[in-house]
Amino acid sequence: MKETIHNWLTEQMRITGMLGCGIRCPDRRTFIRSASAQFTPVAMEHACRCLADTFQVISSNRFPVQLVRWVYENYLVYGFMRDDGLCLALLTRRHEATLQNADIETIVAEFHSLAI
Amino acid sequence: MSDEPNNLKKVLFVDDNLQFLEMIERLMGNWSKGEWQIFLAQNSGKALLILQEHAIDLAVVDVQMPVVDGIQFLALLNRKYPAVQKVTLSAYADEASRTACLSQGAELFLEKPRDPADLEIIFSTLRELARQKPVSTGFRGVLRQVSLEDVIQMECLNRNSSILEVSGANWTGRIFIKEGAIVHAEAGTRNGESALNNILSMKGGEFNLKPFVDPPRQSIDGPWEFLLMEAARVRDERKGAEVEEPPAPEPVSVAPALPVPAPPVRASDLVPPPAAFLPPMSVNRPVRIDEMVVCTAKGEVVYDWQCPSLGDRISFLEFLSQKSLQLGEGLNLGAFDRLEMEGERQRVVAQIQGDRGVFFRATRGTVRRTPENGVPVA
Repeated sequence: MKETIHNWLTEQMRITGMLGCGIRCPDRRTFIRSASAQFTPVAMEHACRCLADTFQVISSNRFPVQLVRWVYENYLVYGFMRDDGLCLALLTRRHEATLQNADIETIVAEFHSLAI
Repeated sequence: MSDEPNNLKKVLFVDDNLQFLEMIERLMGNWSKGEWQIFLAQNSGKALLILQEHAIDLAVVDVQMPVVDGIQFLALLNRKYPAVQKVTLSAYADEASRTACLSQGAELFLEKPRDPADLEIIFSTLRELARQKPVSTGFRGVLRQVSLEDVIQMECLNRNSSILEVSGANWTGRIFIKEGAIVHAEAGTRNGESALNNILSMKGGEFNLKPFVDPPRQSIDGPWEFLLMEAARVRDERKGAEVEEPPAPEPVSVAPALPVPAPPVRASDLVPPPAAFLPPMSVNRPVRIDEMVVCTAKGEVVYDWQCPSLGDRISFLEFLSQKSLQLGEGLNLGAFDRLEMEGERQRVVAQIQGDRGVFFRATRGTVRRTPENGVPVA
């Protein structure tokens, strides 16, 4: 499982616009990839935890939501939650060199079918 | 001027189990090597008194407490002391409790250690949290979910002495509680039960618990339960009519400043369209606005459209305000603008800016789905 996730995250880092990505498992193990020293593994791991918390609160509010996008001044953080509780976080720029819609669709599709 | 060292952290533990508190004080006191000043409270009333008197950095609250449980106390703490970092400890770490605690602003939800050896792990986690810079800005609710009655009830049940100062845009009222009994109230030119009933009829505002000083006179007598019941009866009688507020230069305007949206409208009319998101809502597809709330930074609702639960929405915006700061911590993402949430047919957007919070939920028309992954596409 660990290797599968590491390999898949490494592949995603090749996509233009991807600054960092991570997966948080239901058992709270977190796997991180980052393209910049600005986005440290600790900070990325923290962000993944926040994302997972958010999905939990969203669920308790009964919003039928699978995908979220946090919009900040300069960056976007995408979050996706699978039915099995696996949570994906993607970090990209907001204005230029951002992840393209088609790329995100592909990433989400792959993430949903990722056999772990 | 305080002679306390800058790095001294004031940590409050709230737990009804005295033995556990004493163990915490002994062990964590040693481990912290003088970095922590530890305060202990066996109930929420004592904890509130400590919070009034000391600038607590971190509060660690037991979820299962009698009378006022940890989640209720957390809700009060979140509104009254938003800058205090909050952690909950629970002997029964189920998902429902975890969600409730996170929703009420807990940074961490930790399982109560069964083995004292595990306490050191808890200590390390708490120490790291206490060292972090606390969230000091953002959207804060005030009186929306923790009602004044809740606060009075808590003070009276704990036989506390305090002054509950309540204020709106143009008025201030004070309720004097002495050793668990309501002894005086004043609001504008009114005193006694009339003032108490008026204060408790307020639809929103801020409150502040202050140390007790003797009132100019005792204007109220009788059990607090009856007084609260009477206030509720008076409020019900006034239902439908405008609530009479204490004399004020200008009435507080709560009239909606926004036009009533006439569905169907486009979500993109309300919030800037996303540059790229799944599925793109900015395309010309009709959507129906299901609900919308606009509130001030203090959680006062200035406009709502078909919102089934205002309290839940305000609470969600508060959660979001804190979580957005935590998420951006260490990543330098810039100021937070909004959270967009996408479901199969629904879109929810929660926007938080300096002076306001906006929440809306919309349903769009039929969407085509890819059979492989179920992801909606345009």
